[in-house]
Order: sequence, then C-alpha cells, then structure tokens
Amino acid sequence: MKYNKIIKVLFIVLITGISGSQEIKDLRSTADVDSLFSSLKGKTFMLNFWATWCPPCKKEMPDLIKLYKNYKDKGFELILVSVDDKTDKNGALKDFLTSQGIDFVTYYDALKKQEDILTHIDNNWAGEIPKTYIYDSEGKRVKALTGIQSYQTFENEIKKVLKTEE
Amino acid sequence: MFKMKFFAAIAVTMFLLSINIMAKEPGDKAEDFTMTASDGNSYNLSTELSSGKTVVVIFWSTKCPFVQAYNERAAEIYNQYHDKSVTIWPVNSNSTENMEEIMAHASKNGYAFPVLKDTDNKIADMFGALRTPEVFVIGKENVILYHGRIDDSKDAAEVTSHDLKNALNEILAGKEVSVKTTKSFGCTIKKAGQDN
Repeated sequence: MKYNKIIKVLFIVLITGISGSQEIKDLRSTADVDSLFSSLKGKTFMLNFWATWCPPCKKEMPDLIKLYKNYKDKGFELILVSVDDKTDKNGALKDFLTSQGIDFVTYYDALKKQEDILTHIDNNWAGEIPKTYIYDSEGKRVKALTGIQSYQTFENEIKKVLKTEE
Repeated sequence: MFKMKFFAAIAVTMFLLSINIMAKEPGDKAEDFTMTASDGNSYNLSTELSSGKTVVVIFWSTKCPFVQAYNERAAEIYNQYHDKSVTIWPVNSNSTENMEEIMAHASKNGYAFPVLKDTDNKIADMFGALRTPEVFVIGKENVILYHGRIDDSKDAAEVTSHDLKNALNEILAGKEVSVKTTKSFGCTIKKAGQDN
C-alpha cells in the first residue's frame, strides 16, 4: 500500500517534469512587455492576443500550439497574451489552457488600462482580437494578422521569416 | 513612360489601401449614409443630424461576447439620453449575421432602439471601424466628436471611466469633448469575403 503511494507520487513528479508546467505570468506594465521582448532577442516569435470570451481565438489555439511544437526547435517562440477579465483569470482562463494541454509559460494582460498595451504594441491596433504579430530575431515586427487564421497561414508566415534569417 | 505608369499605379493602390485601413478620427466628417434597420425603417444620417440630434453609432454584433456584456449598458445609455436629442444606432456590419438574426437578438434583449444593418460593411469601411463594440459620435455638419469605447471594462463591476457618457455629457453641455479618442479590446468585424 505504502509502495503504491510512493509510486503514484513519483509518477506525478515524473509527468510534471516531462510535460513542463502551466504558468501564467502577469504583464503589469509596459516595462514588463519590454523586458519580455528583450528576453526574446535572437528568436523569431509570434505574439498572439486572445481571450476565453473570444470564440475565434479559442478556435485557432490548437493551430498555434501545433505551430509552436513544430517550430520551437528552429528558434521559434509563441507568446500567448490573454486579455481576459480579472474574474476569469483563475477559472475560465486556467481551465482553457489546461484543456489545450498548454505546458509552457503564457501571459496575462494585467496592465491597468486597456489602451496601455494596445498603444504600446501597435498604435494602429483598434483592439480587435484575435490579433497576431510576428517579430524577427532582431525584435522587429514583420507581420500583423487580424482575426482567425489557418495553420497554413501561420506556417507560411513563420517560414518566410525563418527563411530570411537562415 | 511605362515606369511612370507603373509607379503611379502603385501610388494609387497604396492610397486606396490607406483609405480602407485608416479610421476616421474626431474632427473628420462622416459621409452621409442610409441603412435599413431591425424595426423595418430606413435611417439617414443627415436627416437625423438636421433635427439637431447627436448620433451615436456603435458597431455591434449579435454574437460577439464582448458586445453581449454591453446589452444592459446600451439600454441604460439609451434610456438616459434618447430624450436629450441623442440618437443611439447600433450598426451590425458582420457578414456572418443577417437581418433575421439581428431582429431576433434585438427582440430577445428588449432593445428599445433599432439596430441598423450595414450590408457589405460599407459603413464600417467608411468609418474605418474594425471592432465590435466601437463607437463614433457624430454632431453638427457630420463632424465626428468622439471615437472609441463605451467605457473602460467589459466587466461592468470594474468600470472606472464612463467614456461615452462623459463625451455625451460634454456635448450636451455645449462643451468640447475633453477625451476624444479611447481604445478597448473587442471582436473583429466580420467583413464580406473575409474568413475571420
């Protein structure tokens, strides 16, 4: 009986270790956004703004995860930023991330005003989501995609950037 | 000669593209429009403005969850302002939502105001609107006085700034709107021919 418990605990530790952990980091200021960008220098990355209240955002999520899994070994990062309500952060948001099997760090827009992150990321962005930006390894924004996209579109855009950086 | 024509064509194309993506901002004029509405009537901007009214156009949706969070607040704004020479016009530009759905949604939510149908998103394109909900307040001589959000939180309990009401109160008091543009999140407008 005792051994069974130990085995169970070991199994859970092992699984958690293999699959990584689901962590939601708060972006509390534009400085947090800047330091996130700095940490991504040298990598091609996709910045996707989404929310659990947004059906097209949830629909394209499996494609984004598939893209990340297929290209993470080629220096590609996926940065998911949720703009959910505070009241959904510990419920609907976590539940959705779990349901998608997300085992990497994602982000939450905890800036006080909605316009802060909108203006800081792209002054021409009206706030519609899903909104996806692609940045090259120099941290330069090379593409903005509005609305739901197919896996093919995401992949084509990422391939273009990775190819120019070869 | 060919080169000149080629570059002229590129310039014209870029100009046309810029028209499509540039939103109208306070100080710009809204072009006149007529739309049919959920109550079966047609509404014309110039006619409405000529009676001294201020017109609030809110790009709207029957499906967008962000808009649904504003159903009660839209009714409250209508109740507060409709007898003060303010016209509230939710405008549905989504190609994915037809008049039948708009009528059913308006009835279900007990709207006391008509919802206007923007066929082929011509009016959304004229304003450069991209999001639901997205507000444009239009005053005398078709001049846009405010562009942005209804307030600063989808969650009614978290609202700290009633931006649209603030703008309307200033307009009704004969003052210049102090905060003319604001931003918020929202759903994309589902334009004809686009799968988004």
